[in-house]
Amino acid sequence: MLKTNKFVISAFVFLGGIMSLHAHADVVKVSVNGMVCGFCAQGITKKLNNTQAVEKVNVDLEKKIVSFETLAGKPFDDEAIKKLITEAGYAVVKIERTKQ
Amino acid sequence: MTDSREKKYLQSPHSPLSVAIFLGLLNPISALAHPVVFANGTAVMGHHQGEMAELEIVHSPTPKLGLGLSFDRMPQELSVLGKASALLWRGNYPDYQSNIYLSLAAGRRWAAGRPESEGHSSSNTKGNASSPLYQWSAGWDGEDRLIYSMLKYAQNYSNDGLSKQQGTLRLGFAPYKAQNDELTVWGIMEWLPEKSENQMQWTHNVTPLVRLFYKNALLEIGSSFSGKVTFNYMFHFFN
Ligand SMILES: [Cu+2]
Repeated sequence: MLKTNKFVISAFVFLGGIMSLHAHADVVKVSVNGMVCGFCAQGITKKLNNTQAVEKVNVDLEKKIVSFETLAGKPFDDEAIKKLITEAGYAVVKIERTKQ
Repeated sequence: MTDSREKKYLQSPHSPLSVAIFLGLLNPISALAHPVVFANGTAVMGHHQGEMAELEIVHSPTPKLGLGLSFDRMPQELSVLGKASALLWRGNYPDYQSNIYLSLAAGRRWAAGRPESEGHSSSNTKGNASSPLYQWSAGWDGEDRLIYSMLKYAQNYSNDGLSKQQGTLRLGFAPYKAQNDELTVWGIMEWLPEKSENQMQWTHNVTPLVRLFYKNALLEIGSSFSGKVTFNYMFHFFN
């Protein structure tokens, strides 16, 4: 009985682990200065997609926000985000992260 | 039902890809808005005014460096230049972006029937002289989503020293703030003062232009007050 319980629990933990790999980890909103045209938006979107650590990238020129969802199991910390956007030529003002 | 209709729309002649291909066929090349671009980006630019035609291809290995080739053709002259451009400064503000850049170029020019060719070779009676050509230029631009301004100055040096000076001032206005995937329309006024070594005075070209900017393609069409048709394009590709 105890053995079955242990098995069921570990099976759930294992399945949970697998499922979280496919879920989105964080919703990230980055306030960026210097974006003025669709070309800026395209470039930043491309750079983010190239990392293969994010999806659903969206650039809002009006609100000056770059938003995306990180993929679980692919760490993409604030430092890496800041580096990528700075190297693309823009300035990061703020990074907001909400767990999903 | 809806799904397949959406798919059809994407393949329709109005899809962004089709428009890009269409523009690409019109001109073997394409366009962009900032001088030094994203790392691993390549820009193809063309400038045509009156009898002058210029083609430029620039690749950016880093966001602050552009390496390119430019081909200039004028009625009596052809020049080829290898060019390196550096983004010296970039200002990023909430609704505004500004850049200062410097370009150095070296190459050759071929001039038909130029006086300096007479003294050189006896075999070339037509007088087609080729000489080394060097160029430096510095520029500044600043833009938000409704106003665009650009200032540039270039000097060419050939055999006999300073061979050409050229300035550019551009002011542009957009009637509306375009979203990322929308067509952006600009009205631009361009002033182009120029002086070649065989000219005593500066010539001035003032040209109103319409700029259409969509995704990675930029197109400018205008006619100067002296009647020269102007046509510029820029296409941009990056990984
Ligand atoms: Cu831009």
